[in-house]
Amino acid sequence: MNQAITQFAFATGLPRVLGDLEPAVDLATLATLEELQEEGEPNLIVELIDLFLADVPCRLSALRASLVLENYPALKRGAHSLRGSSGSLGALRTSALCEEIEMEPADAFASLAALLTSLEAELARVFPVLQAQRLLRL
Amino acid sequence: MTIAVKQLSKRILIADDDPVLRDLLTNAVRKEGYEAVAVDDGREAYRMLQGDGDFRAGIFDMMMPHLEGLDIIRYMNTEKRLQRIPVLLISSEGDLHLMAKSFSAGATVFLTKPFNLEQFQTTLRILLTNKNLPSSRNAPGKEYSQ
Repeated sequence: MNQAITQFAFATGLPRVLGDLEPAVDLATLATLEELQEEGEPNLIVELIDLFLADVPCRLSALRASLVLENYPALKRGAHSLRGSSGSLGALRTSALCEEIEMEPADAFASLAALLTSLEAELARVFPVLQAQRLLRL
Repeated sequence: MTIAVKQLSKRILIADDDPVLRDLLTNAVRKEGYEAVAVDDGREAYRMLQGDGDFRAGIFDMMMPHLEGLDIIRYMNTEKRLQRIPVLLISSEGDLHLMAKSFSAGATVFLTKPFNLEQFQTTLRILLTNKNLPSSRNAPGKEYSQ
């Protein structure tokens, strides 16, 4: 019975739906950065979120352009870079998707395109959470 | 009789092309009581080191535009005044081959991304307090290749 449910779940793409229910941002990871906050200084988490929100659209455009141009080394370098900052801010699924892009065979255009689409969708979930976290700290 | 004691520099050079991580590392270094000098990529770090060797340590991302972390270490190995500076190399890849390559090039310690604050602080303290570690950069071994 359990096996049948599992088979059904995978056949219907349920894991992907369940994945969407995972928090876009692990707030505990984000909260650990509060340790670095110096008294009297601007809020560090707000500063880091601002940098991320300003930087990511350019990085995503560059990733998309690298894919279109089939410049796979640039695509993987871009994903590598985004993986670090997203992981630091608690966007763990974003970070994992970047890692998948890095690990994908260099010429696997279709799967890289699918992963990039997933990454864009995931970041669309991450942005409002980070914006909300930013507002909470102002 | 006065004995001149040369003060150890409090400056740490940080090179990372990711603005979020650069800012994070800068604040983490300041929190430890050091002055952070942050640059955007390997080429900027190289230019800075050409004219300024007054650093207590270097923290370099492995993968950066223009010049990678390993390239900066290789340059530092060629200049006697830079050989005493211990280096923390940060990478998204934690495989043994890459670590071996980094250590044989002269990296002092290695940290894999993503890391949490505690891991970074521990690694930084090891880098700054262990007097035996920088010796590996004074006489870098034969580069590991496979």
